[in-house]
Amino acid sequence: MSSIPRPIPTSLFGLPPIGAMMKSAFGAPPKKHKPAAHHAPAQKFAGSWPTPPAEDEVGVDMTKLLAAVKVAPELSTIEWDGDRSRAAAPAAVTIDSTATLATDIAPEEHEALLPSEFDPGALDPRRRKIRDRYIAARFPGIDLQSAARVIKSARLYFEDDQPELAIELLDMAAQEVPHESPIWLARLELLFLMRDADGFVAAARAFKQSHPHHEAWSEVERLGRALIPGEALFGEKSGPRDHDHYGPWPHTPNWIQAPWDLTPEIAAADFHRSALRLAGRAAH
Amino acid sequence: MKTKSSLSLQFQRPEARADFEKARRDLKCAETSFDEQADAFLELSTQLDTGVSRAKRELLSTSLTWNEENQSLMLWIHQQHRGLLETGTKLVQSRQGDTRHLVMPQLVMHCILHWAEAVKWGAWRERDEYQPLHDLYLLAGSGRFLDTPATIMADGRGHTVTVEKLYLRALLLDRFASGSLTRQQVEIVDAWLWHWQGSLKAERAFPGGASLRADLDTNTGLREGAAKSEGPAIYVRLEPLETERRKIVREMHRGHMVPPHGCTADLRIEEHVVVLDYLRRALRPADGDAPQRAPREQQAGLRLEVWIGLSEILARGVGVGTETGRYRALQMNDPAIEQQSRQRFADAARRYLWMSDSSATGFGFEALESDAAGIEVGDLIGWRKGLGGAIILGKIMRRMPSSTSGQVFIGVQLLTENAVPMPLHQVVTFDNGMADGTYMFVPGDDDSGRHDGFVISEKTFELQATYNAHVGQDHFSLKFNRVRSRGRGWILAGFEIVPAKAPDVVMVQDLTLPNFDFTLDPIQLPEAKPDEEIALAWDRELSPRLLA
Repeated sequence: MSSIPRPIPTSLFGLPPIGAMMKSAFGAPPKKHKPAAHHAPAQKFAGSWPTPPAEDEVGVDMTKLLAAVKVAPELSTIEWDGDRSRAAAPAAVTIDSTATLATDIAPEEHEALLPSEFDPGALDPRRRKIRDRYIAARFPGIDLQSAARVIKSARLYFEDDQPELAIELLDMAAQEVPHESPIWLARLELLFLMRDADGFVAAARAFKQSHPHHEAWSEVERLGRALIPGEALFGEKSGPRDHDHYGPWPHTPNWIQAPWDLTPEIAAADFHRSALRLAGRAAH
Repeated sequence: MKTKSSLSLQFQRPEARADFEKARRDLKCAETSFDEQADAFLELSTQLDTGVSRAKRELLSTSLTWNEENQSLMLWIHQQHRGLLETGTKLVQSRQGDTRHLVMPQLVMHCILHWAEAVKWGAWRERDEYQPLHDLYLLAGSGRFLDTPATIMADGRGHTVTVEKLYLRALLLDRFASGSLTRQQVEIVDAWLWHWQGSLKAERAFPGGASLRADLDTNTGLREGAAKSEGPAIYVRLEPLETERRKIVREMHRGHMVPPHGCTADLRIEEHVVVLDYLRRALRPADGDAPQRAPREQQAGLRLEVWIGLSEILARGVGVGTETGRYRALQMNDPAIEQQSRQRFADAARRYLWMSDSSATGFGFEALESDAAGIEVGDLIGWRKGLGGAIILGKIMRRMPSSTSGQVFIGVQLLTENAVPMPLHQVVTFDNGMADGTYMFVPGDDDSGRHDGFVISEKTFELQATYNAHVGQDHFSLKFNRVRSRGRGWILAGFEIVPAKAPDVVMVQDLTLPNFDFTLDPIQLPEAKPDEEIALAWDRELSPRLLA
């Protein structure tokens, strides 16, 4: 226990509250403390209202006022429109599909993809901040809300032999904007190109659950049958027909949005040549 | 000997450090019974851990380069762990292989713990003695307490571990703390290794795939592949560790720090991301029998002036932003300007490193500690290939000080041997061209240009702006679109060539515009009644007077 005497409380400029000391020295009666419940203010609507007349003309009871201030006001819950926007996302086009959805899904395989199991919008502010900082550190300059930008960046990561980063980017974007089906489809195509059979099946299941009647499901089935023949998720076992494709591997739907225009590629080669010519001149 | 209550654990203060050191030396020279010495050793061991866990939070929280006080504290911690390891090993050896004493498992565990902590706090180029560590493991095996769980204090917290897990953690820490990570990053690795105790398992037979090996009869650390000798060896599989690494990525997605406590939870997320990338490379399986690195060639100490960081490379290597200290002169070819700019940076501010070896993919440098001050893993480094030659750019991958000679050994990954400074102009600027600048073009090894890039700052990349480049007679518009490599404050950004200008406006001749004439439909108004009375002024829009 501390033996240091407690100093006299001081007010502004270090002067002791002489009035209070005199009052206590002359034995002033202690203040009456009523239960706080009696001082709870009546419900008041928001806005400015006329000041009611004072109940007591003698003066203001500061104790009563201070006690009233301490009681937390009962506020109604705030409904934020941001929560509704997710529900108001455009619904996928309804088509018929013969595929059956398997229910025995291993939760660890694709739990990060299912918005029903993980909603980043529901994170508390601290966790949201950690997630945002991780995204900024891992994927600088990429806005996960922009599906086109995300798909392009993922494609570039894939082209640069960083498929793991590409898949992670698409994972996180699908969590952020689960209604954006192009992100899910791009992820499926990358997994197909990586020949990741397990990943493709898990992603296809998650896609089916998230977008149950999407018009691209038949394409997913076609790719799935080519990658994992016999998988029940992709319909009856059947190989590609002769007239489907004449190459060694079925054609892909270009969900990764690879450009058909090769002009920038030619310009990049020109740039490379010009820069090296400039470097050669500078060296000499 | 001071008792537990009389020792201060504020190791930031020199007197507290001196007190602890005296207590440790007293124990070393004590001639009391084995039991008393063992108790005192375990008590000191716990006190050291408690004091260090308090001090290191402040020590690791700074992202700046450590000052001399920080360095001396780090060295002191390393020495105390070495000292306690020595004392504990002598105590264990005094039993001459008899493991029946109750305190023996605790002693062995603490010795292994101090071995690992000494490695962590003093990652010198000269590696520690591995044989005492292997001997402790073999002793625990002979005493049949390799897998016996026990609680040990580490980082101020109690951990239930076994000798085997502590041993594997020590070897992995030794492998990872080999100069490729900063102090903060090593601390993150260590925190994760504690977290991954469940996945640390030793196997007696070669499991195949990605695994590391410890030869228990040699003075070496972890090696790759199957054992080539008949001696005892154990293996640790890397696949479970990779699974744990992926779990951490998933936890990051969910906004969780792993572990949620301790000083690593306060470190920047960028450090965690660097460690995740490092471990991804470190835990992946070896590529068959292919050599892990390109063959090296000795360089016999070629002395070079180097520049650290993008701004220093641009200022000293290229001459961008060099202040002359003079008013602007009309005669731009005045030799005094050039002379002034050269004198601006005296020899005292320059850094000189000695190139010790080189390969197709990198370089090895040696430096004095004074020259290597401020050089950290992840920094960009540049130098010229001979007088007037091209600028070479590299990324610092390893930094290991020597424990005795005062030298620092630096490993550099080659980015390019032919960097080209190139001015770029932003297409859309709001500051009258002030954002324009000179950037280092890094040509790739492919003539198509698909591996080309620019070394730029992180902020420049985040701008996502379009730039005009005038290369000789050609004009290009480009935009940075991907991160190829990155380090402390810089990014090697890939780019794409975008259309240089908007499509021309099509001029239409003899344009005839449609006729916009319009007519108003007549309004049918009610007929006025002569004897109508209006009760209110607003009953009708128009009064009968106006309608008349």
